[in-house]
Amino acid sequence: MSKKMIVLKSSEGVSFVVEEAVARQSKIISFLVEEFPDRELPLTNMTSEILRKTIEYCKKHVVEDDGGGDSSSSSSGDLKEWDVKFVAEIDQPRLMDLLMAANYLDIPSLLDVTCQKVADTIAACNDEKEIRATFNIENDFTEEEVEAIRMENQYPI
Amino acid sequence: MKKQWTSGSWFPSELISEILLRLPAKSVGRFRCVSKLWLSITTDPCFIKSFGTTRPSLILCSIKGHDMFVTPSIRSYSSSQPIHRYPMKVPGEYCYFSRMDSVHGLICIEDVDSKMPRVWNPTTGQFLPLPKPNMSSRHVNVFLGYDPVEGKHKVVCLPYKKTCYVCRVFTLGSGKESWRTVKTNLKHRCCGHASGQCIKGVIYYLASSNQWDDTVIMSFDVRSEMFRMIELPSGIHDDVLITYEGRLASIDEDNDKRLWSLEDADKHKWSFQDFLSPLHRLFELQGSTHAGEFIYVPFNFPKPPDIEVFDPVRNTRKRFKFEGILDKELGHNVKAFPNHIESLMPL
Repeated sequence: MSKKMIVLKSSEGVSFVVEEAVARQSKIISFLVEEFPDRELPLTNMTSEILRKTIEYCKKHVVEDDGGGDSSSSSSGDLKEWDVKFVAEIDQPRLMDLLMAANYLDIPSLLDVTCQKVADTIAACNDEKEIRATFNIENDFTEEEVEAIRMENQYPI
Repeated sequence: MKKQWTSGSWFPSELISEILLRLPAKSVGRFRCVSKLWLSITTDPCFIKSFGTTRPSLILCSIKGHDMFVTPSIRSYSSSQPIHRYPMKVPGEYCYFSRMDSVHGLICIEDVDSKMPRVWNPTTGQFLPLPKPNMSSRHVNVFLGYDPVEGKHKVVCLPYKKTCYVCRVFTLGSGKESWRTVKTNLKHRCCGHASGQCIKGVIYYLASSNQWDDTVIMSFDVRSEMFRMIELPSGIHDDVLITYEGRLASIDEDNDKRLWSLEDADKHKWSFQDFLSPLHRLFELQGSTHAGEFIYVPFNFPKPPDIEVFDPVRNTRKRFKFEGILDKELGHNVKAFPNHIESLMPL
């Protein structure tokens, strides 16, 4: 039996033909597929590049059900390792876009790995200035306020 | 609510919260000064309530005089684990940990001299001294509980080895700096220095039901403040209660490969499972981790202790020592907190 395919369209109008089971890891797509079967799904706020990355993630994480019981395409240990490599290869701005895509499409596991990667980047920063520079955050505190907050929040462990 | 994060894109603050929840507590504290938005997100009660809950880990602590020693969170076991001198001092001279795990990130410390229980947040370094509970009994047991619905901690104080009809309850963060009297409605005697557990909003502790000294479990619902008596299966007389796979559990007295778990408190229903090796060891069982490993700590050791980690399902055993502190510096008692979470809760 051939697998059912669906078409996802990026903001640039590029079409991606994806197995339905792969795309259904997104709760939003899963819902849309039920509501509008046999329709192209336009994802107007996702670039082709981010959509391609998202599909790559979903392909790796799809749990195949060929009638012979569930079998994940990879073991959970391998998957974890793959996830770490997957997010490590993406630069900061694209990682943020991918995180937004995971949130928009409602893919909890992708949201988790991307959020964790960003958190690890933050934790590795030496001070708040480095964080502001890395993530383009405006400083809306005075020097005195920064000092006061820092003094109040020095945790021992 | 939206906020600029990266140039050219808008970033919802719920996602910033999702990211910051995954930071270690120390980083959250350090980086509160990044922006007003970060400060407001990380001091929000909902953020504080859910912080750390997905990452329980083992920590070990020791008190010697006013000094404290604390390990960082232990998630994997090597042959030696660092333990550090804690930068804050314990306020009292003769303090000890109550026989409970850490409860949603907070730990209860009892003070022999002042009789003022203290609540400690190891993550933020704060100690909250509670007023004297003013019980008629000279010795008391203090249990800490957490109600996950309202996100409130309560401290329950019961007389030691004395029949009691009332107890004293202190609600943290209520603004009222006093103990309230709550009727137990069930005549019982709390065991001396009794072992307790708080699981899903209920405190459990060992007690005797009547003059014949029948051991029972008493439960206290942290939210409703109702007490209940739970009968034990005939095999349990052990004085250690643990949380195993999310349930209250205790080892069988006659068959120490058997672990009883409370299945249904209403029906007094317990079930058991048998393991391959004895669960009693030369050391004291101090609890079970989230991953189901039993943590054993030697009783009063004169020498630096070996901590034993036993996986009853895989039947494997590991031991580790402490490093970083001279043997004689460490206190005589080490207490394991197998399910500690980092808490940002201000005291």
